[in-house]
Amino acid sequence: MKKTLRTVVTAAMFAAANLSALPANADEGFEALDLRNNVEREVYSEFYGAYGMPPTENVTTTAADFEQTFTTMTTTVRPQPVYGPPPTTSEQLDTTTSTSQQIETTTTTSQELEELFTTTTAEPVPQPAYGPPIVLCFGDVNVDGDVDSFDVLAVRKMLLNNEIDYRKLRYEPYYGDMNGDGKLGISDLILIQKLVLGKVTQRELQNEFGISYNMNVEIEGIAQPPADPDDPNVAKPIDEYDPGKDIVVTLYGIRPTDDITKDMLDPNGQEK
Amino acid sequence: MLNVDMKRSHLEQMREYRKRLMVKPQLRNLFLELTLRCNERCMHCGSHCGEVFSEELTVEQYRTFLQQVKEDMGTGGKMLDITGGEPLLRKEFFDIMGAAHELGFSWGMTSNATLIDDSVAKDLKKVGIGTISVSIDGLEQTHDEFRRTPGGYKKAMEGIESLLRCGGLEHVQVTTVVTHKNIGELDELFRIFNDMDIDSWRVINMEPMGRAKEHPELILTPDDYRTMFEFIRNKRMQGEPVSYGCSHYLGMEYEREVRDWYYLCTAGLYTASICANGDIIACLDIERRPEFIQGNVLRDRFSEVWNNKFSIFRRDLSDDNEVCSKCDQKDFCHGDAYHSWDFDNNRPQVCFKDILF
Repeated sequence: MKKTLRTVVTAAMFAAANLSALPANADEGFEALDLRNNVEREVYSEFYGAYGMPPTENVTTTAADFEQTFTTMTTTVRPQPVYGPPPTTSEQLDTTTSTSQQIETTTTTSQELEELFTTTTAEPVPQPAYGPPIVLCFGDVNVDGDVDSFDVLAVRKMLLNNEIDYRKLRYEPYYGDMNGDGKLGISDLILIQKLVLGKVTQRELQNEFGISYNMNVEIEGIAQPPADPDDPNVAKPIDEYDPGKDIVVTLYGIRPTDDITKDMLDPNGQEK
Repeated sequence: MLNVDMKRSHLEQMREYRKRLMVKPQLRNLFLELTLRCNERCMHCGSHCGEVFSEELTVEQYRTFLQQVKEDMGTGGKMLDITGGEPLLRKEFFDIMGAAHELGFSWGMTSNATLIDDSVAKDLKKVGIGTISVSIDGLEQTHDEFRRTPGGYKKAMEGIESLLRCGGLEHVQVTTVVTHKNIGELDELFRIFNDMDIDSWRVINMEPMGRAKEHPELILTPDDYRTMFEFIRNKRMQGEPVSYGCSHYLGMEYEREVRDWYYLCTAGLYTASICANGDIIACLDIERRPEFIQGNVLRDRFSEVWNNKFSIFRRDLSDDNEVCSKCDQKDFCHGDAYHSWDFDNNRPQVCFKDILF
């Protein structure tokens, strides 16, 4: 069967409709948490953002839960050098050592909150003191645990609409500051797109721009130029739909050709 | 799914446009039923065609009629839709269409294509055929059983190939009537048609009219309908030239998604038909009842009939039925298609409410 301009436009119309539906899905992907008691609210308001992703389902928190939740275990596996003796560090004194590799484990359990968030890592890496490593959140603007097209849409949304209440949508613009300049702008959008498309890795971006963690990132809105009414690529307002120009194919009928449409209309677009 | 707000807005505009059409109709499709005779005996035939007596207009009567239409209404923006029966059974077929072509009418036809070979295809081209729609109602065995014509599928496919080979047509379409029996063959049919150089594939459901009423087992079930519309929509999303026909309001889910326009029953608004005997009616698929005959071309001037009669078709059928008049979709469906309205009981025989919406 022949594909024509009409069929291509039809397919594009469906594709555009599906694409425009994505931001709505992105919004719906993260519902507001139902925090049921003061302890949860206090913990959430104080540590959300610093500790990465909030819980995805509601729980009734008990002291035992706290202990379990804030028990942090960090395990580092270090490969042995091919030549020479294995490296000796101070942490090794408290670790379990096997013949093939060296494992360092530090476990912290809580009695009080200060102790809960004390984590010992085996090597100094530029990570936040608490919570998951920032590398996991790099680009995860909608904080759903993945860096994907929804994050691209979230950034686009923030850039295009200055009025947007991104806090309400649980967007975290500082995870979108890919180049670490303290601003969320079009360059960050491009970098996130590259990341989603697999053209760069998180590690490459971090090597290039370093790791930033600026809670007060500034959003650089994009001013949209006024639509050119003569541009055929600009979607026309829905009021401009003209039923009279629809070609209705009757049950028995044969599809009138597009030339028939021209016949029906004079040069001024008026029906004859 | 396309934007529902947009669709609702368009449908509201269509409603207003339809009101204007009722006051000032615009003839776009003029159907000519050249004969009631047919060389097939399809189970779904809406007009009981076959080996029947057919009172037919002569070539000169057609010429006179078309001349009058041209003088009174012009030929621009109008399409002659030639149908039957099988129109090619008329031995004067090429004389009639030659006359229409000389007068400047665009025309297309519906055919089972069993009588088309290279020679006929060339003759059709000479008399100015623009478009053709050929019926293929299933895979070979299904098609032949359904149309009760052994070898019909093979002949029809050869006819289509002749049309494509000779060229000159602006649009070659295949139409498939979907039934409960052949709905499982849609994928395979698509594969076959997709390998052909046709322009489009029209997929329509079997309507409960004419001879089809004798075969209720072939009418689609609610699940069948949903399957068919999903099939069409999916193909269109892939950019394939597959379309549903003009029948029936489909609700917000499928309106505009399975065809290029919003629902509008064009009977009496865009469409008029001349029966084989010259009777003037709105749509050939509407039940043939005396009260629907608006005139006859042998004694009436068509333009006067079109302008001054047809009031029975220029109104909302939903006003005649209590359920329809209270339906929240009546502003868009208006009681649905005229051809599927049960005029004895004043109710629609096909309504997709609670099936599609």
